[in-house]
Amino acid sequence: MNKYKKITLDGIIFSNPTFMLVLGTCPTLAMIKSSAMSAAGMGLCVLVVLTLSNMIISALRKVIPNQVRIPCYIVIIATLVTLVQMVLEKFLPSLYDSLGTFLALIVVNCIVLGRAEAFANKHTVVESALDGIANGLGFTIALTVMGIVCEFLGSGSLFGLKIMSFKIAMFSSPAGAFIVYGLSIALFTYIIDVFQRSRRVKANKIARENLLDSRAAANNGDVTEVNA
Amino acid sequence: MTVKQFFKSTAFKCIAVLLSVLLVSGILLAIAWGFLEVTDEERFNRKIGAVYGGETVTSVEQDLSGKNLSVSGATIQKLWYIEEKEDYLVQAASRGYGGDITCWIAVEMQGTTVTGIGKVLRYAVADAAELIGNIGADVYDLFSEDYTDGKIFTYGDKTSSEYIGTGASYSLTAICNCVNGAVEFVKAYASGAEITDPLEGYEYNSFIDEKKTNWTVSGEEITYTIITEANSPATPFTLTIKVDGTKKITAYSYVDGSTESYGNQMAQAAKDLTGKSLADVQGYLNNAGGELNTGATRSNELCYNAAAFALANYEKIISAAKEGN
Repeated sequence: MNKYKKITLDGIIFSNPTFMLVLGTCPTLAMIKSSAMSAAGMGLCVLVVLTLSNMIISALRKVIPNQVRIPCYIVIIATLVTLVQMVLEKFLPSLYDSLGTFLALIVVNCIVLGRAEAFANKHTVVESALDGIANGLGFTIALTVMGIVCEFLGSGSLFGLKIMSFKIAMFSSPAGAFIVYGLSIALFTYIIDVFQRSRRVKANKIARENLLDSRAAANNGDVTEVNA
Repeated sequence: MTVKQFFKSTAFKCIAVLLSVLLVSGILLAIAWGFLEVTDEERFNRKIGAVYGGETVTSVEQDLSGKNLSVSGATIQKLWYIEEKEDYLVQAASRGYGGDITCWIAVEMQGTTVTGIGKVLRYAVADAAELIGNIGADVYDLFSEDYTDGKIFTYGDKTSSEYIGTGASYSLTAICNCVNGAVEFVKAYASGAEITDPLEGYEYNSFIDEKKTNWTVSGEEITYTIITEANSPATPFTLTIKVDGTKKITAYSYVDGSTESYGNQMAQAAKDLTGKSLADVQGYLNNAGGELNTGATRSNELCYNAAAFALANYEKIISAAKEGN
């Protein structure tokens, strides 16, 4: 498989930071219970910070000594988060208000530091950027989907638009967020498992057919030899 | 280690890299701040814009000095006259579960008459419980939709027929108090009525309803009929307290304002304060022997405050009576 395709699929699906690695749980639970819009906003902020931090860290990986790499990463990430905060407060104040403290807490989000440490400091800038975008997208999609479920059940609305008057208040609380998060992980893992199993079965089938073909070819060769 | 060795060492490289990263980050942020700074004025105008649907309006802050700012369980913090709309915007605060909830309330006017409520906006929350997020935008819209002249909003009161289950009844009560207080205050302010606190200068007056509370003096004895404010979830208590020349309570009775079964959990001391002095009641208020936090803290608090009010202001009322006031 092409390495760029692998990085992208790993980030979004097979190593999805929210569903597979269970990273960034704190902002996930906080945002999905408030609204789908806040969840998507948080996801996009993480995507921007993650991509830029991965690129900068990757570019500086040969300059930053190993002993001070973590403090350097934190300074870089904190700077980017502060920049994102300033931009949001200036141009998207309503989103800035809805994200509250959790915006600043992106600095300590395990996904950002985790990708810096596990990927960006070992790969090129382009690969790191792609990894940041893929993981950021994986995080954003996961948050948005769970945010939609919680908002629909908890407030009877979607992205702030009222859909129905029926609502279950629990889904707007941390308890509801935990339940939706847990069920989402179970469902996602099940789908990935089914997909991988079917892929394995398909691969085994092809391998078996190839083996049978090669045996048949070998047998035909023997017969030809005997006839000759 | 020589100087030359130090400059070639890893330690120096680490310090240099770390300081460089910090320096570049600092410079970058300083430049960004220059372009992206949001001033207090800009922030304020945005908030006002949110109240008036994004319109730019001119707000003139009103002078509230000397006015009674404690109205209907809320404290009026600021009042602006909105020139384009010719109505008022009120900033009011009331106590939620664990701290104050501050709201902005647009009060619509026709001349000096209140005609309705515009947008109600949550301005700040110092409530540690953070359940206020459960109160959706549809609930805030109800204030505008349901307003009629003289209406008292009670959406957070579990005993009220218009109670709305949000899981944040304390916060909703605080918001209702803010709206009720704002309307009452603006009514008086716009009509030019005197807005003074009759209990100004009295001690322990924070939970006392200054309009409904009264007392009679007979010789050295004062008989108080004290109506408290609500202290959600506790609704107002009505207490009859007698204090004589010994500065102790000689008679004490109350009409329970507790909701649900909180009345059963009230402290024995709060149920009967006969014979108690101000020092005793102050001890209860400070939870010295656990007489405050018995499971019905808010009800206890109302009773102790009423008793403290009666005892602490005894001299003041007696001297005023002697002077014929």
